[in-house]
Amino acid sequence: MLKRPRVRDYRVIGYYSGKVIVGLALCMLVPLGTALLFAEFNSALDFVTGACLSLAVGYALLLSCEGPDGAPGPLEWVHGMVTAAFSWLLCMCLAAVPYFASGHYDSFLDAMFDVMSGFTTTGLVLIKDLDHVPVSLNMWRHLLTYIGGQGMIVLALSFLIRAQPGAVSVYVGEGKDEKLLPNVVHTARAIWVISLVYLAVGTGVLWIVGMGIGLTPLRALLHGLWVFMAAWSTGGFAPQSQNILYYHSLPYELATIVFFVAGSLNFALHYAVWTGNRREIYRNIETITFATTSTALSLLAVWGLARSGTYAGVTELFRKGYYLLVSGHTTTGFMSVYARQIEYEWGPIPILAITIAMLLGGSACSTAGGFKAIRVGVITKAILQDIKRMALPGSAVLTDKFHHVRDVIMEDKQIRVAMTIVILYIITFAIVTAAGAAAGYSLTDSAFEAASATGNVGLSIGVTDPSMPAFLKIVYIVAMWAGRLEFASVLGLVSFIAAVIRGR
Amino acid sequence: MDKRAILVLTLLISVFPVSRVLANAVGPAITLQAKELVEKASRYDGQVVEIAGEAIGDLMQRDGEAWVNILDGSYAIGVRLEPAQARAIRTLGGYRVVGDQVKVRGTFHRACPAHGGDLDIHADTVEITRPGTSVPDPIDPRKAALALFWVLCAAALMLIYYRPWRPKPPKTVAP
Repeated sequence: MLKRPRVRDYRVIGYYSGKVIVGLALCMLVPLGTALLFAEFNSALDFVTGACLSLAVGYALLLSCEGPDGAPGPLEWVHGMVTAAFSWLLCMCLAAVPYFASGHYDSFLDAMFDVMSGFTTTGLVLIKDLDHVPVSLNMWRHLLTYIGGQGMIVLALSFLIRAQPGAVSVYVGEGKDEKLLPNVVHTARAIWVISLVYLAVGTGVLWIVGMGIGLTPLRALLHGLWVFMAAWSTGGFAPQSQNILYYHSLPYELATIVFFVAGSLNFALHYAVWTGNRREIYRNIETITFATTSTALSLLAVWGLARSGTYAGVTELFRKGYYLLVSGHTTTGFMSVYARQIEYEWGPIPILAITIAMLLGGSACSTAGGFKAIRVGVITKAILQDIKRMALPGSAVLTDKFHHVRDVIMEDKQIRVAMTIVILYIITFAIVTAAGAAAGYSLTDSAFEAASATGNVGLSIGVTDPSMPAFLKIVYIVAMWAGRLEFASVLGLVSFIAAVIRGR
Repeated sequence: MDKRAILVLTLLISVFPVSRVLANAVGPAITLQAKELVEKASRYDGQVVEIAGEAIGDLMQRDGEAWVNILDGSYAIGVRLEPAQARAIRTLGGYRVVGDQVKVRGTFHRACPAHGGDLDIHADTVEITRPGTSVPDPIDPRKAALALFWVLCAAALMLIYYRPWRPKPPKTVAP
């Protein structure tokens, strides 16, 4: 029997959601400052409205939910899960205000779609006339995807939420489960330090490359900052409508590959390497799994493209076939071809290879989406273990281990958790594919776009468009949200709502 | 078949490829939408085409050539230019700027072998049909009023939340 939540439960959830919303409002100061710097005064007014509305909602929640000593009570596991899922929905609505006010969206739903796409580092877009948007709006689009990659909750934990017993539950609720340091707040701060150092280095590299390919110094800096944010966050947004194809440049593509592969790696791996353990790169189950699957699928995609005669030369196969495959596998979504080219020219084999790559995704506790390499590695090992067990006597005891920062002995519980999440991804993928097919798109197109939305990738075969049915936009929003939060907190929110309605 | 017929047929066959080349070089180009080129790229691969649209973003000059992207309302397409041709383009489209309207005639590539498989056009001629302009963007009074309303709301709520007599919450430590 479900137990109806108490008033204190609502207040705890409301209080911490309020903190996250205040964090979102403070983030809007960056595009607001950009708008003032570039004399984009109407855009500045949009950000003032968005920031102040967010502050009003955030402080209204804090005032109505706070206890006499601040927090209304201890943060329990269910509160963390529901707060993570609920605050992401609230953030989507509030962050969409400047988007919608810009006049580049047909509806508020489209604006919310793009915000969720940014927050979840997906990269599918419904924005219209992207080539004429203000600098400040582009700053907001890319900042959203950068924040979303690291996590809104991670940001709030780092700077706004005091060290609290149970704070780990909101952190886990956002799809992160690694503790780089014993304290969850210190872990959140470490994630931000790693990301900010990479931001400085990556922006610098892309700035230099940008000037080398003919961009003016200011444009090269802005594009470098935005493209790095999107690459590191495996977000896939770009400041121009042609995405990475806009630059017509091999050096730019090479630089982005390095950054989005780095972004798709586990923060625990980054931290291990930072603290001097470089061998971890070669020993970690996630890097081994990613190297194996990306090599196999790249060969398949490149073979398919060469066989169909879509691309003939090695350079073309690398810049189109390999680039898109790795972009999909890391769940980035940068595109060096037009979406319709994939549909009309690529043939079924490369499309299948990229669809599988998008579902597999990058590493756990990274900015990437998908099943995650650690789960793919653990499940593969479990299957191999079962095959080995068949050849052994029934009384034999078989143990196996994998290396992830340290040696871990495989237990049934880990395998069950990995299998559960992968099965939930597959069920979601099937439902979203069916929704696309029901809307009249071909099964191949629907499956490709569903894998992209569920795995938070952003590659498109052309389905995602302002003219697509509203119900499909909502389905994709839910798929992106559930996929990014890895279902746990979304299911937590659903069971909480069920308890509100049917609990006693 | 008599000798004259064979001669005429041989001449026709031998002249056909030359006529194709000449048509590509000097004949009338096909004026197309970028959408048509992207979605039916194989059909136009290697042909001389003409597109018209707005020069957007950046004019990227490098390695003895230049790149500009032309947006015709459906898609933007990369155009490879000679540096001398690029100098004709003065205004590039962006926020509050409508770029030069350009008519480009050149060879279309579905997967350009010289540029890593990019879908592009190598321009033979570039013509500015209408110079770019800036678009005035006066402050919208409705936006200003809405912003002021939410500033007042947020300020009021923050004032209540941070009232000086408010008790400070105790500090606790995470596990």
